[in-house]
Order: sequence, then C-alpha cells, then structure tokens
Amino acid sequence: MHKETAVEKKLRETASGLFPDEVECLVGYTQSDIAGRTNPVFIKEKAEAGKLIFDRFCINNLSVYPYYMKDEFMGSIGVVLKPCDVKSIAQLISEELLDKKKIKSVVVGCGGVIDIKRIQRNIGGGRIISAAQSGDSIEINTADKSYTLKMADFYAEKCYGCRIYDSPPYSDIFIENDEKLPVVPQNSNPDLLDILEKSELEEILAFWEKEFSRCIRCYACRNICPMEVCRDRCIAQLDLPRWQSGKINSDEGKFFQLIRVMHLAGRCTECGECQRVCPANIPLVTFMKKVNKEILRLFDYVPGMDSQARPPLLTFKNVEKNIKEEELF
Amino acid sequence: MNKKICIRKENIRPLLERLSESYQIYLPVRDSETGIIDFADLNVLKDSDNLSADFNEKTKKSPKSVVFPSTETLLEFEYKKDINKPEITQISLLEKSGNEAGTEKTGKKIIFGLKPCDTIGFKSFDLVFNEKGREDKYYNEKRLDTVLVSIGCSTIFPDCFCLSVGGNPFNFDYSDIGLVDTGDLLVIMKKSENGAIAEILETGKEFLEEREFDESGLKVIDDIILGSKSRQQKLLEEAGLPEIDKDSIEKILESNFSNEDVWKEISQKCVSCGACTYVCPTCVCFNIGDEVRDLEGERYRCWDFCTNYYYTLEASGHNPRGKIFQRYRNKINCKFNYFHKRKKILYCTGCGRCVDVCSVGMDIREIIRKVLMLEKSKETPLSVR
Repeated sequence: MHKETAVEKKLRETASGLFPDEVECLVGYTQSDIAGRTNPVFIKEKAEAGKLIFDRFCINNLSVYPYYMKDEFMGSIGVVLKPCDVKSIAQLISEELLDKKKIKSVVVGCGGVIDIKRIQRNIGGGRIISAAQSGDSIEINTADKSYTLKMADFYAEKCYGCRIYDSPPYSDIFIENDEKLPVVPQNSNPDLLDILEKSELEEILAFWEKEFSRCIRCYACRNICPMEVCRDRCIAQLDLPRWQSGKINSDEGKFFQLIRVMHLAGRCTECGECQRVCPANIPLVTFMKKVNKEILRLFDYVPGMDSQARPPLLTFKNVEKNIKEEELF
Repeated sequence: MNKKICIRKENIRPLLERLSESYQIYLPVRDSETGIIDFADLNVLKDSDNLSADFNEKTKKSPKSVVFPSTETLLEFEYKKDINKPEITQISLLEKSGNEAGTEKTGKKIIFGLKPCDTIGFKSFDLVFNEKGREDKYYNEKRLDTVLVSIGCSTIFPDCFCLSVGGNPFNFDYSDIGLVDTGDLLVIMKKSENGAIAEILETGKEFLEEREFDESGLKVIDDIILGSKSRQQKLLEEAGLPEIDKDSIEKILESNFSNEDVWKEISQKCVSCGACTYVCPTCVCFNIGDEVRDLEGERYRCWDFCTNYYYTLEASGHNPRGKIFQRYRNKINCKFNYFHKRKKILYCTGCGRCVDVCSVGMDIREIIRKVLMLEKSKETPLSVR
C-alpha cells in the first residue's frame, strides 16, 4: 500500500483547496498497475484528491492534456507539473495556444524522475515486474532476476544538468519538495548529440537509417507532445493533397520526424515525452536538442522559460543581430 | 506408455537452421542494444551479433507483420499517352515487382516460438481475410503456407490476461505444432492436420528424438500446464477480471453506446496514437493509397488505426468520429462487440501488449472491468425491486 509522503500531503491539501471554485478538473498523477509507472488521473471533486501521488516515477509531462480538454470544460483546468513540465505550459501560453486565465499550474518541486525504459535497456530488456524506490536506490524485479540499482544512474535524461528542480520558470502554485535533485548528477550515458555532431555525414545517415528502420509510424511521438496541437491537422496524414506517403518504412519515418522537428524548432521544451513513448526506442530528443541549439545561437532564445516572451519564429525583426545576411549565401 | 517427439534445447538452433533450407523461419529475437524483442527472420539473426533468440518473453509487436506487412504493394501501373491524341490517357498494369522489405516474401514459412495467444491472433486475421467468397489474395498467398509452432507459456507476465478472454496459456487449438517447455526439452503436445508437419518432422528428424513418457513423466507436463493456468487464474482473481461472458459484454456495449459520459471517462487519458493498434495481434485495419510519380504509379496498402482522426474523415470534411472518445469507443466495440456479433469470437487475445506499450496507462483490463460494472450497476436496482 502506498504511504503518503510529506510532499503528497501538501499536494493533496492544495488540490482539495482548489475545488470547487478554482478549477473544474485537475490532472495529476496516480498509481499504476504497471511496474515503474504512474498514470494520469482526472480529479473532478475535492473527495478525489487522495488519489494524487507524487514520486520518482512521475515522469509523464501532463501539460499535454489541457489543450485536449479545453473544449470539454468551461472552467479552469488545473495541472500537476514538475518544474521542467511547466515550461510546456509557459510556451503554450506565450504562443497564445492556451489561455493563461483558464490554466492553473500546480508545480511541485522535483527530486528527479526515474526513466524505467532506461533501466529496462540496461538490464538487457527483460520485462520488469516490480519497481520500487528505497532511499537512493531502486529495487527491480523481472520474471527471473532481482536488481538493486543506484537511482542516480537512471534519472530521465533531462534530469541531468537540471537547474530548475526547485525554481520553476512559471507557476500559479508552487509546492516545495524536501526531496531535491542531488548535486546535479552526471549522466552515465554519453551525449548522443555530441557523438553525432562529431561524426561524418554518412555515419549520421547510417545511424538514423538503422534507428528508423524500427519506426512503425504510430504517431505516439506526435500525439504525446504538448506543443503539437496540430495533431488532427497533420501534414503527414492529409489525403488531399497527399504531401507524404502513408508507407511505413525507415525513409518515411525519418521524413515525418524531420517535419516534426522543424516545426518544433524554438518551441520544444525538451521534456523528452516523444522519446519516452516511442515503442521503437528511437532517441528522438537528439533532434530537438540540435534545433534548439541552433535557435539559441541565432535568436538567444530558450523555449518555455518566459510565458511573456514572443517566440522568435512567431515574429519578425528587420535585423537579427546573430544572423549575418552575407553568411547566408 | 506414451511416445512423444521432443526437441532438446541445444538442438533448437540447428533444427531451425536445417529447416531454413526449405522454409523461411521467423522467431522471437532480442536486440541487445535496444532491449526490444520482436519476430525476425532467422537469416537476420545469423548476420548480426547483437541479436539473440528468446522464447520466454512476449515480443513487443505481434507476429502479424509476417503475413500482414505494415506496407505492401498491391499493384503497379503506368499511364500511356499518345502525343497525337492528348485527350486519351491509357492505364496499364505493370508486372508486380514484389514488395519493399524482405519480410513479405511468399513461400513456405514457419513462425517458431510464438505464444498460444498469438496463434489466436492469426485466427482473427483468417476470419477476416479468408472469409468465404471474400478471400484476400495478398494475405492468403503469405498465410496459407505458414506453419505456426507455438510454445505454451510457463511464465505469466503481469499484463497477461488470456484466461479472461477465453484463452489459456497452453491453448494449442490454432497452433500447427504445440510445444511444452519442460526445462531442457520442448515436447510436442499437439500436431494439427496441416500437411506440412510431416515434412517438417522428416526434414528435422536428425535434431528430434522420440521419448517414452510414463505416468510420472506425463504428470510433470500436466503440472507445468496446470501450474501456469492456476498462477494466471490467481492473478486475474486478484485483479477482479474473471472470464468474460462474451454474449453479455456484447449486450452491455451495445446498450451503452450512447452513454457518452462513460466513454469520455474511459478514454480521458488516451492521446489517440496508434501504438496499441500496431502492436495488437488482432487489429486488421489498413488503408490503401495510390502514389504516382511521372507516368508510373503504385497502389499499396499500409496499416491504419481507428483511434486516428483521419481514419473516419470524410471527403466532405465531416468527421463522424471527430473526438477521441468516439474513436476509442469504436475500438472497444470493435473488439468486444462488432466482431463477436459477426464471428463469435472476441478480437482480443489477452496478450497485454497494448497495456505494456501505452505510455499514458490506458489499460484494456481496467476498461473491461468498467464496462462490466455498467451492467452490474444497472442490475442492482432491478434485483432490489
């Protein structure tokens, strides 16, 4: 049975206080039957606030839901978020895709979240039957083996180097968490973008060719992305005119992904959801890191850090100080 | 005394390699880099050193792509124009030049090491694509020469629920060869009428052996089968999901079609991607597209999924299932209502792949429970009366 932690107590109290006046529905995390995961839950009254949990397995970015829900609910929608997740909400507000007045961001301080897929890969892919945090380690059981793993090795990729775990860039309510991310832990995996940037073009192509050979075009990456509100008007599936073939193969998967990447340039907050949900384990965030790196260089802009800012690709300036026209040709 | 044909574990690989001389062999293969386990051609396994065969776990995707590839060319055509009669365009078919990926070759195939639930998936496909009078040539030319060799499940995973949908971990009804794993041996427990089986056993006889099983030997096998069933039974009882009464779930779904609040609640988490559909052993939907380049073109078919907005988008721009709950309602009805009406089986084998793959925790077992509760809550006031 799940024991209420200090931060969960605060979260549940805060959540109860939001009903009935402040929000009509609150999206949060609740326990899952599947090991190492948590599920989104939709709280509609005070009495349900006890379902909310907040632990190291709360990896989902729930800011995808308000846009899906906004036609169903007249009143405000509350969302429980980690400090990194709230960047997506801030970005959606800055792009006027969400109405600031109708969103209540309940941000909870974060001690880092565990990437269960990474654990699974590390132990050779065996199906995980149970996963539990105990102190600084994680206890994992598969059908035939048990493992005790150091938590610091299995945070989600975005946790390494995170500086906003207890200071979210945007929030309506902030709940402090005593469990803080310990001294910015080091990622034990080498940075893929680093490796690719140093590789030859042919090697890069060969790498992605292999990765995308597993793509089944399920569009999970697109539909889970908080920024991709255009999912039901998608160029990749449009029939008239047909811009992209419907074939399921490495080339089409890559092509779709490149479209996706380009239209998320300067918008993606690198929450890592696309990569987390990919059934083929394709390292999609690498693309996003690359375009965001360019956006930072060209426009000095980091998506999601300021809900008031005007995203550089949604505006026009006569002169861009970092783009030298003569270098373009 | 009872004679049974057995395969020693260390002989599996040599046996398959021998058979691969006359058959194309598919088996569950794990990629050590990604950890993903999927059905692959034995030749792919031979060529790569980071792949290994694994018969214990479920594959991430179902084996349906062996007979129902994610993309296949149906026909190729070309336009012919005469410069003197520009108003006339003639179309003629080109010789079919085969398919893109290597997986969809026609010819004799063996799928080795699939789970009993996966064989029921093939039954679901056969009922659609091999329906009398509506046989699908493209499907059948791949399916008819395919032999299904399944291994019963001695390991039950937390997302397994085949007993709930009328299956069981050792259901060999739709297997051509059914095997039980006794630790160091695979024992052939079932042989179907399929004519290819005698040939397979003859080709591989060097790696097969006949053993006598006395009563205690047979009891060991029985214990494996019963033990596995009772483990799953216990899990499902704990989860509150006993065997579904197929007729009653059909009726409940039928009568709750317009109960929109229920469907909105059930599908609230769903982001309507196609991951669950594409890993499902029974989802049969496809789309057909024509693509033309210059004067040549092709007609292909590729997988499609019903939770997708474009699935029902009409040419007028109207979409009868524009909302996620409408699409998800269709998905559940398709599996537990519509197909049961037509074919008298549930289009769910209880493999649990959709539960495992879903990133927001849509759990088909939980949905079944909720649907069954609908009936109960309706009944209670009646019985009180």
